[in-house]
Amino acid sequence: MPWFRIWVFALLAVVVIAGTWEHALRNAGLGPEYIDNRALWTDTRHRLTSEGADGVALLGASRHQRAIDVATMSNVLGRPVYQLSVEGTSALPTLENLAADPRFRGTVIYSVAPAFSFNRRLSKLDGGNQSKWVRFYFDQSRVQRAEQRLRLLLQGVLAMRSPDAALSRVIESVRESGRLPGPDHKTVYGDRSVHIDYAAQPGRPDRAGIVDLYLQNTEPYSEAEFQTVVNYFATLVRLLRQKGCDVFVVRLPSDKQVLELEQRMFPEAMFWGAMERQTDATFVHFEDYPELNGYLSEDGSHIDSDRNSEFTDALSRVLQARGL
Amino acid sequence: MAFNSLTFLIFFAAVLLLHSLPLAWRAKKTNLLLASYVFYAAWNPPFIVLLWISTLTDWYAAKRMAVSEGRRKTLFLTLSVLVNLGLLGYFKYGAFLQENFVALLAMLGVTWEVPASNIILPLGISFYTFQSMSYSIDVYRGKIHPGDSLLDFALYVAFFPQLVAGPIIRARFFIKQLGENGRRRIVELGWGTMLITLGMFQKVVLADGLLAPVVETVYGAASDASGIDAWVGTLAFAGQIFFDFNGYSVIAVGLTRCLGLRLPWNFLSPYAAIGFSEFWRRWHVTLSAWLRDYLYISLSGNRRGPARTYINLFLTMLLGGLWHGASWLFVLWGAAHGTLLIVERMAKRLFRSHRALLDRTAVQGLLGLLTFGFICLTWVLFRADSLDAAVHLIGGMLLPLRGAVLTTSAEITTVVSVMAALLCAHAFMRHRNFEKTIKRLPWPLIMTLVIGMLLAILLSPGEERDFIYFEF
Repeated sequence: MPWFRIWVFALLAVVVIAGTWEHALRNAGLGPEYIDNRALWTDTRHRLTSEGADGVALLGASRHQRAIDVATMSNVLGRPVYQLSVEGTSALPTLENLAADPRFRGTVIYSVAPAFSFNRRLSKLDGGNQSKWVRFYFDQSRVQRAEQRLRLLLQGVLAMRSPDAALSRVIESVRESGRLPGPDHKTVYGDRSVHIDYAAQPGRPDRAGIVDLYLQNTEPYSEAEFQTVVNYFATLVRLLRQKGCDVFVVRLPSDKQVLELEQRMFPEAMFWGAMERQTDATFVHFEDYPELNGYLSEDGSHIDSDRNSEFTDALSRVLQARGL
Repeated sequence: MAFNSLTFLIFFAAVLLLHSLPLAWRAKKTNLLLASYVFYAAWNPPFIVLLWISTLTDWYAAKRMAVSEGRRKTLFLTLSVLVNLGLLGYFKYGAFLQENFVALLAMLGVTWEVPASNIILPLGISFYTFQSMSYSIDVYRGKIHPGDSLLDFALYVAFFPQLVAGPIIRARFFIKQLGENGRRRIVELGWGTMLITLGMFQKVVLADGLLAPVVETVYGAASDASGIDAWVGTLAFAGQIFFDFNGYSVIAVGLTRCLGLRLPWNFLSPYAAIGFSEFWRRWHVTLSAWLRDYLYISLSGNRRGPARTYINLFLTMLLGGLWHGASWLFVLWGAAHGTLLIVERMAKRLFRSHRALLDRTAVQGLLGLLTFGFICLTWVLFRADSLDAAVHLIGGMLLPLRGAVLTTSAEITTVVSVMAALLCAHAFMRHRNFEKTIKRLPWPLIMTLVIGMLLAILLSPGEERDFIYFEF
């Protein structure tokens, strides 16, 4: 069997076909894109550690991840910023991880989204992702980290490795429209900033849809349960403060039906107010700062991705004014 | 360092480069041994000590057995078995035993609160302890003489292509190759790389890309799954586990061929098996052979009449099930296979006089499909997260009309197409030698297949998943 000939021709053919494919994908509007998975998260977490006291960690759920343009915040603050928020999860496991990590000496910006901070049914919504990713971060060997970096490097360079260019999606698009697919509604960047095209998002990305989700999946803590969580949160913040870390707790905007429901399910005085009273951190509520309003998308719960840079700029300046 | 990782690609390129230098064979073997230790330590460095314990114990025990007789000889065998099974018992079954002991005490009304166990399962421990132990048993039985080279024996235990998930090889098969001057032939590099590509294609594209998402959909929501879902999810798992494990084994064979050595094939078209005993001669061949030679035969095999044979078969499969993992579901899976083997044996005795009928092609085909159907039913026990989920899914498979369907028509089409192709391929290869069949194909066709597989691997951006058998 002429193996040398087989391999030379095969590799040449693969390079030519893959190059042509990459070119076609870029012509169709697709570019390199990251997958927002545990690899990207743990890589971000590792990079945060290496920043020492300068690093700023963003903790929260989708509201925080979609609201912040990491590059803008980094520019305004003049400090490296790392996005560690995870969609649909409570950020407590990551806060616990930062509090327990002696190498972390930076600043924490913790976003309180009522449905993910005070929700008894959280485990159902959470799926344990944030705690699983923290565990993965702990368990990673150096070789796994190197592997992760190599894969992220490829993701950042090749459009053909983007989830938008997955073969199943290509086949479906060609069958339906005779064309290669364009980018889908969600784009994830290397710094874990996210851009959402709400017009192209499947399902119901409107206020009514968000309210339905809330009603199906939310059950506020009882007062005793809430107290336990707040005590734990306050303890973690105290540990961070003892290490010299600053902690900012932010309540990002929501409006209309979403805000009404949140206020009904999680009255400010009982939840946010109690948290503020018992925790040694700086609290920033969007309702106290008019400059933080007016950036929401049609779902009433997340900042419009096309304006998240402006919102980030405004929030960063508020935080700066509060001592960041 | 998994085979489907970029770091492994770099690692193997370096090993290959070193191996192709004009060094003495002993130096090449030393390099391979060091590379194997680096490969293992890359996962969790301290656990390499376990590998050394297993290696040195069996090396010493075998040496002592060779110059001992009677009880003294048995004592050294006992040492080997105790150390290897002790390592396996503590790391793999420690938490399981503790949990069940606490549950047993609770049933007796005694409450004993123990802290949750955080024992880490060392990668590949089930494989290398069995392999290392087989050396001592073979020396004890007089089948082999202990070798003179600790280097060769250490490489036999730690050889990285098969260290973490087999094939489980025998000393007489592998150490013999190390003794020869294993000069690499260029043709093996081409064939070896072809096998690596084929294994990667099976793992990355078929197992992880096409089948795993369907399995996760169904088994992740087992209690909501309909009968159709149960069948689709289980068929997908039958394919996933084959492509995952066979993919790994084929890569292992390919890597070894690139180094001028050989490993046995671990899968011989298992889904074309007619009957369960044939299935186990085709599925995870090296483990089946290990269990037969060192467990079933040690229990007296079929030498003490039918009743004892049935008990031996059942016990062997029960322990074989437990080998896969510390869980009652694996025990049940083993028990199910033990029962199927017994029923098959009884049926063979019963239908002895109808041989001509059974040998008809149509009947053989039907029996093959029946075998595959039962194998699929047992896979539910292997994959399900809980007994409740397994019962629900098996119930759904036996009464497939109930419930709403979770899987999409595209997923159903994909699974049915992939599995139909797999069954046809296995039926075609049933009496054929894989290597000879492939090498008889015209080279342009092989090249086209290689191009297709490489492109499919390159264009599969899905989630990175570990090999299933890494958990065992």
